[in-house]
Amino acid sequence: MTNEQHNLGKVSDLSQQDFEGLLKGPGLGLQIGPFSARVRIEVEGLSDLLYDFYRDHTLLDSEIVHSFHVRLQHKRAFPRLYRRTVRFTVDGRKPHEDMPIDQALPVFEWGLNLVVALRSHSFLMLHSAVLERNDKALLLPAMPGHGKSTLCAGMSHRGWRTFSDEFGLIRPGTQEMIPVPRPMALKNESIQIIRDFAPDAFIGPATPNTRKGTVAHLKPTTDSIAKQNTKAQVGMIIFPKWVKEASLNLQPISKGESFMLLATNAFNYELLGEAAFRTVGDLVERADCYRLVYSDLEEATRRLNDLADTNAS
Amino acid sequence: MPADRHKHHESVRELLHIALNDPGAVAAMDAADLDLLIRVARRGRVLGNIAVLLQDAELLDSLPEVARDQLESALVLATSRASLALWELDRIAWTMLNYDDVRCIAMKGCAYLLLDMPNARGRIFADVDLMFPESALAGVEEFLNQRGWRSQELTPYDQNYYRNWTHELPPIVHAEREVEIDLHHNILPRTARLKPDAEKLLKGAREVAGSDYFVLGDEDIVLHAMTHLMFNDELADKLRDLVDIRILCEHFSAKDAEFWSRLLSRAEELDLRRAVFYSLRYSQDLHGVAIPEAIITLTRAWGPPASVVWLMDRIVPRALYPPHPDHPSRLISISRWLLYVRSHWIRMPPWLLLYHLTNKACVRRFGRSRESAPTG
Amino acid sequence: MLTEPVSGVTRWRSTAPADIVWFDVPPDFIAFHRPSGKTHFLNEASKLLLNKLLSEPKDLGEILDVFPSNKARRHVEQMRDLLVHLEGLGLIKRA
Repeated sequence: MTNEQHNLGKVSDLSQQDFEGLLKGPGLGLQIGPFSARVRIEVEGLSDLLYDFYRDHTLLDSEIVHSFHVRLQHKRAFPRLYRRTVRFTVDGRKPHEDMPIDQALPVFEWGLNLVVALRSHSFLMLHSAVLERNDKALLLPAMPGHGKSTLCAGMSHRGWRTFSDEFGLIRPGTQEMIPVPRPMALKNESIQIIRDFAPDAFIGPATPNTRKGTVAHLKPTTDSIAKQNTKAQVGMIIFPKWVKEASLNLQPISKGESFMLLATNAFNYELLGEAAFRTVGDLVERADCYRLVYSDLEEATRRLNDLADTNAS
Repeated sequence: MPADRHKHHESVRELLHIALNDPGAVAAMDAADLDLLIRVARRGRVLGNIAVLLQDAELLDSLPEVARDQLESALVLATSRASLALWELDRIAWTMLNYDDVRCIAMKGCAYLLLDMPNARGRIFADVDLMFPESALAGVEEFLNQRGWRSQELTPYDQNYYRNWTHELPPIVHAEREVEIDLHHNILPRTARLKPDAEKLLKGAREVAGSDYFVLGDEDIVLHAMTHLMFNDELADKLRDLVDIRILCEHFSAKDAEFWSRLLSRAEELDLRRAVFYSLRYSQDLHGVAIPEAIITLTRAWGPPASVVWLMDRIVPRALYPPHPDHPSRLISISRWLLYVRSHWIRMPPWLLLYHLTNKACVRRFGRSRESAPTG
Repeated sequence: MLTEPVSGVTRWRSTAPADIVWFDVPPDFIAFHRPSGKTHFLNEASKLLLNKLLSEPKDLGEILDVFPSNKARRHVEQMRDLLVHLEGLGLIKRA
């Protein structure tokens, strides 16, 4: 039994007014990959932005079991009434302090990341971007500052379907990655790089001064959202690293090292114990594993497209 | 509106009562009820217990996938924590093989695990609690310190608070792992107003077959759970602890018909009557606890004045049970605040209480914000 | 960190075979240790120790005999350190 039966069409089937009304009122039901979210937003202006980002996502009615109930409220903090903040809560409780109101969208998106990471342990959650081409999934595991998000964003506009830029979701004991399409966070220089690289991409406003610098979000492609129920087995695992002015270098990496990097970078590897060990082992055994060093996004995407297309034939 | 709020509180309690007793009824719940149940069970830390009941009844697969995922997630958490606890116990036992012969008593969650009690499965376990004779405590702490277990990095206030004011030891953690270990000399802190006789507790301890550890006697295990809940805690969302008490009583009384009378005698011997009174009173409507009428009658005399009972009846359930996540209630907030103050009042003398509350208020106001979890 | 002293006659043996799940991807040997829930990245020598050598109790001398070039003093110390380290992880026990 899934929540499919409670599918009410797409967000874009609603008018922006109705969308806002639901967010401010009883809450809006959204299907995001395997998660059924209930969202309440009471921050002026944010609902229009979310309407654009989530327009292709599936609406859910309210009489369902949800994966989480989240809320973003506008708060004025006594005694500093001039300081307007937003409060992110899950089931009525706040996991972190209130944040400045101009960071509302990043706070909301990071909040969703937090909720998923903290309570979705029926899945193994790798810290990785996941993309699909020719029915095979590619993992781009995250290494801080190495540019996984930029590469993921770029590839999503060169023929790859995006599963996620952050969460490599897979059920232990299975072999298929599970899509969780959501707005992707681009930081600092990446924002302009992707604007140039994919002029047709929908990128939201840039928010400066967040904990991660300046952040803007990229909407996942319509295709990525439309196929969010289509899983895929992993064909390649590529550990990317952007190095200024470096020439492209794609090298095989040992399975042992791949295993170690995946395991140490997962959100809940240790929690899942033996099941995680076996699942990561399967992934690494089946997939071709590489390290990639690049500086030119176009060149990198072309190389990876070739690799994926060669493997498919 | 007040009637509505009360209704929300009542419906939460009812859903939890059903879920803790009747997995078939959970499988038959409509989506809205199941959704609410999962949210409040998570907050009350009984989602794992409920998941175990459903798993044992082979009903997990009949639930909607989104519900199943969350219940399985709770089971994963519980299993992981339990393994970590057992491993920590293994490492401590291994380390202390070469220590002078001293009895190490595992308490609470660890005891339930070692004894394979029915409430151990699905229980989201927190710290390792170990009890030693008071005279041995300093030596044990030093021995473990030298072998990799260190006090957490606490603020100077906290270190001072632990060592000089409560005379308890701050928790220790091994460098390579993350499980916190609390070393105790009694079932209550030194500064608490109640002072059960540690000697008697130690004497009643028995060895766990196939383990290097001891546990308290059956009645003492129950009394510890009862005393800890009612006299060492602010009670907020501690439904899980009440469920522990209920399951312990069920288990021991099923094993031995004399359990109840022995529990009462021991409570008198250790001067812990009030904790028994409250625990039995508030676990009664959890069903499942077949507390003999005679026992209820006997413990009735162990309560405080009627006016206090009246107040506690109104505030304790509002603290123990999770609030409705979408309908906050001032009454619940007030109840919890009152019990918060009470928990400190009974744990420490008035002057220490004032010092502690003042300091905590200052830290909260001017201290730095908590870190958020990774966002990548 | 203090550990228990190792003498010439200290003997070790591996933890039960069922306690470890192996994923062999030479030159790496990845071990999941069930009792601790930890994953260890080991080399061939450690795997040999855990999987074969110490299935029967052996002391330091007997272990070193298997690695012929290791009679030099520093190898003795290294081996002893490795054994103590593996013991701390719970992968081997004193017999």
